Amino acid sequence: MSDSGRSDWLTLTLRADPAVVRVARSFIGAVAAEAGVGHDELEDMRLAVSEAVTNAVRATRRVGAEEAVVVRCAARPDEMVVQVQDAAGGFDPSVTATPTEELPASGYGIPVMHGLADDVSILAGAGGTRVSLTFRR
Amino acid sequence: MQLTIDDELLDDGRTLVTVAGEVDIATGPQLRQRLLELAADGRTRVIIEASQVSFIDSTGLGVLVGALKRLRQSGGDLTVVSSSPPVKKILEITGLLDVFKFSDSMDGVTSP
Repeated sequence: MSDSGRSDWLTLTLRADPAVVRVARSFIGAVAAEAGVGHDELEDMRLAVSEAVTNAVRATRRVGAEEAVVVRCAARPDEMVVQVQDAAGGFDPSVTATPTEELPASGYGIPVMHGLADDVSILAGAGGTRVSLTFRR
Repeated sequence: MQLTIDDELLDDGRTLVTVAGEVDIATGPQLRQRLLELAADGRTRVIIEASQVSFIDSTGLGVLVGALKRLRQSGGDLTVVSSSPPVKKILEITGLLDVFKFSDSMDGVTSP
């Protein structure tokens, strides 16, 4: 993501704790409201970001890491972009609700993100995972 | 507001669980625990009234799905009632709206 260095990013650094997920939602809600995003789109963004940050917090805690979860947001005239970065060593983005169980109780996070954002990219590497969510305006 | 949960035994033997606030990774365990306790008391026919839920994500949805499965396995059932958008939205986007007994209002859910 070469554009992370652009100057229009607002950045929030969070400890990997379940309680911070709502802080991330508030952050994105505030940035979106300030940018004039409408109520329904704002709620979609809050939900998608909640999924991404929840995954990052879970991944970080699963490996016992103490690294932070970083949420970045850029409000641009044509789009809102949110990136969620963890340092948990990467996860397999193909792991979603599996058909092996009739009614799985988990695995809906990534499908929800795809259902809400116009573009979702998940880069998973040894250093962690970066989820980028783009909402066109 | 984070999460409040109240339960009430109805005349028809069902249990009305009224949930308000936000249901996510931080608060979902509270809801799961309360539903488990009710089921352990044999209260397996449950209505969750979630009109005051201001936010729910897939972690909260997972709590509802887990409860639905447990209650059905024990011969009970779960009805979800919500007049506000967040609950219906997460059910629609995951394709689970038809899996639950869902209603926009309590009308017709409880006996007159």
